[in-house]
This record gives sequence, structure tokens and C-alpha cells, in this order.
Amino acid sequence: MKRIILLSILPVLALLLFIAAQSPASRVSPVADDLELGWPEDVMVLLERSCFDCHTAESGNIKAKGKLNFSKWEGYKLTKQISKLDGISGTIEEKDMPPKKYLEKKPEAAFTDEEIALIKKWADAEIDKRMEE
Amino acid sequence: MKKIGLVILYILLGSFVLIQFFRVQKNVSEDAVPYDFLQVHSDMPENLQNTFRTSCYDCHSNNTNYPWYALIAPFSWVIDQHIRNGKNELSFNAYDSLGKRQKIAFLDQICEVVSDSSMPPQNYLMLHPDAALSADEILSICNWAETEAIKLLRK
Repeated sequence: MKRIILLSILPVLALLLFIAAQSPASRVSPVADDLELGWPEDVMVLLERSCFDCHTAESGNIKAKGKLNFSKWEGYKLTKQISKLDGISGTIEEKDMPPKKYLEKKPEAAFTDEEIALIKKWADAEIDKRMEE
Repeated sequence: MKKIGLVILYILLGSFVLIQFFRVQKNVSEDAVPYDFLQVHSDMPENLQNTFRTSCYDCHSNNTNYPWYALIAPFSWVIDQHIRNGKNELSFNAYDSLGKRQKIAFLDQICEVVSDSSMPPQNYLMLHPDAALSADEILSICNWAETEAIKLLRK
């Protein structure tokens, strides 16, 4: 009896391991290395953890990619970059992003209050830079 | 069998009459709008002003131009929800109270949402087909918005 239980649990375990290996959390992302945006490392780490899964060229989420695609950042006009920076800081602050559904799968992508403050400060500085140009 | 059909018909008719008593408050206001987008940009070409009025202002301002069927439940509920959501997101009436960077973002977003067809929303267009934007209208919105955003940036 014990053996039967064990035998029936094993494939389930194997399946779970397989799924875990496929999940974005454990996949080392090559995306951030390819993106040379000249942004501070501490900000890049946060963006990679919480945004890049959906908002880069490699993403399968067409809607998210259409709204904001970090892989195309350099091609954005100055006014669009300002708008996007304003949007990034706003949606993160209001906790509209990352979306709840995504956080269910990847809870560690949630921003702490300190991280939100960091992103906001960075986005403000980037906007000011562009406004002065 | 015929009788059951008749009963169902009566029930439907009765509920239709009954729901008419649940009215929504109309989104209309007589107040002046000193910060209004179109007032600030009164030099905008008239046809473009009309485009904004027909396709955006009904949900994104304090004044909705209601078509006759908009007052009949359940349409009135759906339309009320659209207006609530729209005003919550942004109001053209409040444009000039925004800072420079927010104005630039506002102008950029106008072009973006009409270009990717997220605005006006598909379900809204089912009730308001006249709010649909043609490719030419989208182009003039974007050209105008971009010029204004660059002007703001250089100011």
C-alpha cells in the first residue's frame, strides 16, 4: 500500500519540479544584460525582477509590450520617454503594477515602500534630465 | 406552451419597466472650466476640437452629451459606469492644473491610446458608433499632440 502511494506521488513531484524549472523566477534572465540604458544598478535590479518579464522584447505579453517595451527604449522620442517615466513612477506608486495576477505567481516581484521611493526618485531625476535638454 | 411564452414576455416587460425607476445621476455641470484642455488650446483647429468633444469628452469631462437611449436602463447603467471610469482615469476639464511633465505625459498618452485602439473602448463604441475615430483623425490627434508636447518641453 505504502509503495503504491509513493509511486503515485513520485510523478506528481517530478511534474512539480518540471514546472518550477520552467517558471520565470528561476530562469536566469539574459534580458537585463542586453539592455544598456545607463541606469543605476539598483534600479536595473528592481526593473529586471518586477518589470522585464512582460515589458521587454522577449515577452509574450503583447499588450504589456505595446504599452511599454524597455527593449525599444532608445527608440522612444523624448516626450514619450518622459511620459513613460511618469507612468512607471505613477503605476508603481499606486500599486497598479506589477498586476495582482502576476504577483500571485511571483510574489517576490512586489515592491517594498523603500523600493517604490527609489524608483520614484530615479524616475523624477530622469525626467528632469530630459526636461533640461 | 403558448401560455408560458406569454408569461415570460410579461415578466420581461415588467422587469424592463421596473428597472427604469433606478435612475442614474446625469454627468452635467454648469460650472466654469478654467483648466479645460480645449479652452487652453482654443487655437486648435475646429474639426480637431470637435473630434475631442465627440470621442473623448463624454467620459473624460464633467459634461456628457447624452444620446436619447442613454437614459433607458440598463444602457444608462452601463454608460454611467463608463463615465465614472473615464473621469477617474483623467479629466480634460482639469488639464491646465497639471504640471509640465504631466501635461507632456497626458499629450503622449492621448496619441498612444487612440493609436492602439484602446480608446474609445470597443464596448463603448457599440453604444456610441459616432465616437469611433478614423485613421485620419488619429493622425491629426497625434500630430497635434506631439507638436504641443515638444512646445512644452522647449518652454
